[in-house]
Amino acid sequence: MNRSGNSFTENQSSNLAVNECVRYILCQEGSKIPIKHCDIRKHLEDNFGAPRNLIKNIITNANNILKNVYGYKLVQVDAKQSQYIVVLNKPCTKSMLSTYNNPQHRKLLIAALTHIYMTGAPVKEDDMWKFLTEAQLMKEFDVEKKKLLIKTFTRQMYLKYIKGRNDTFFFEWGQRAEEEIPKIFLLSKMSEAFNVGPDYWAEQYIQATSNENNGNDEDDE
Amino acid sequence: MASIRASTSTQRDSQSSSFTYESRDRVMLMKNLINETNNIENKTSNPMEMLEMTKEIVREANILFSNGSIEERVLHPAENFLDSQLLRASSDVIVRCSQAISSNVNKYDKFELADHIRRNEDFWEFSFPLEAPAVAFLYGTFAPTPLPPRAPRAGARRAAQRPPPAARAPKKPANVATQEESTEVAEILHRSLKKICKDGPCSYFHVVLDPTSFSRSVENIYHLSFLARDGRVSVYLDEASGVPYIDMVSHHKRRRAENSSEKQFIVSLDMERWRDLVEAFNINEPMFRKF
Repeated sequence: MNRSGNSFTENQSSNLAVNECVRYILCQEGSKIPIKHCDIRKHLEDNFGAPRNLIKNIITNANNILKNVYGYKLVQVDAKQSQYIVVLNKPCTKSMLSTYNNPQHRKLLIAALTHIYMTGAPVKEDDMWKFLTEAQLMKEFDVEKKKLLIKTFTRQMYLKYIKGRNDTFFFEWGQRAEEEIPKIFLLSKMSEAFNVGPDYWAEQYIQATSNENNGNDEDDE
Repeated sequence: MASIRASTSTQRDSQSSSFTYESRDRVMLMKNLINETNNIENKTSNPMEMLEMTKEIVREANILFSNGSIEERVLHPAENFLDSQLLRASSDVIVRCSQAISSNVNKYDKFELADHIRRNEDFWEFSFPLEAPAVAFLYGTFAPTPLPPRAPRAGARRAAQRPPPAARAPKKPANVATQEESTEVAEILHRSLKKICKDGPCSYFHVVLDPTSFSRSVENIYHLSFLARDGRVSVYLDEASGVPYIDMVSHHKRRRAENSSEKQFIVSLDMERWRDLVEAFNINEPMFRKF
């Protein structure tokens, strides 16, 4: 890829910028840390001389490529700071875990998210540790694992760690979890585990099916 | 009564009213509110509706309450008594409401889930339906960014020259004891090898592997490596069979080969491989009994 695109026509150089944007996003998304709009802009400006007013267009075009070529899509997560995460455009339930993922971490995350969802309310920090310890996914005073939930998963937007009354902290689903995991999917895992129908948990079922409807509406657009 | 009612309807619309009730009227209104509260459950069985009604009544009671002045309150304790009665009645309704709602109780049992996770860990490890898989590459990029420049070159060159003499000096005394030891063992090994390989080269693994002891095998390899390093035996791969062989090197050949370039022969051995090799080469007894 020739980066000194001075002699190129405008079309070609903007194509290059879009491709570079796609490449940048793909490289950044692996960490699951949201990509900042200003970082994309900086990268394109510095390496491509892409004018500031075209950045939005470039990102939109890049999103199209992500959708059509990779089956990914960009989701804006923070209205103010403009951050993006990359999720799949259409659900795919049978994919294997990437070798990049740590299985222990994934188990912790799934347990935490399921516990929060099934509880139906934000979960107190201590309750979460007790639950995870009971499930033998961590030892009771394991600082590393606690940091994993409080810092890493929060940064990746899988969880939210928020302060409640009396200085107690609660765990909630983060925006990435909301985007990546349909509630009905988790509920069907639960029903498979306990050999009952998903409507056994009435409240959660209602929540899951109403969410599903919202999801379908988006697809129809 | 009707006239009072009429005025209350206008009262409801405006929080701040210029109209002040008399205590007597307020008492009457309060009693009505209390009766209404007690009737809520007769009017509906839907908890949400009950909540709404209770909310309304309490709001009216508050308006009523703010209607009187403090002096009146002190003079007419009946109002206060009714107020607290209303509070009691409405909170009873609420309690029953919440009990009714919680019969849609959350059947989620966190201990059950924790137990299931504990017993079926692998079940609870999966990828998310809309998760973009993290891409990991086996090899790096074709065009890696250049590594950050190392510390100043001149300093590096000087540093490279200095350590060898310094490193050698302390190493010598430390190694003297072990060197002597290993030379001794190597000598014994050498002598035995001379006898064994009198008729020609022998298989490397047949020499070093001790089917009875893994650690012995490792020691043999180690001692043999000294002999090889000193050029007294030669280890080579037989082209036909791909099997490593050992051959003795005469003094003659040693002097000639002294200046040749270094070659490396690396043997990696763990217990599993040791067992496999012993089996593959059909080694039943160690070549060397004791040192």
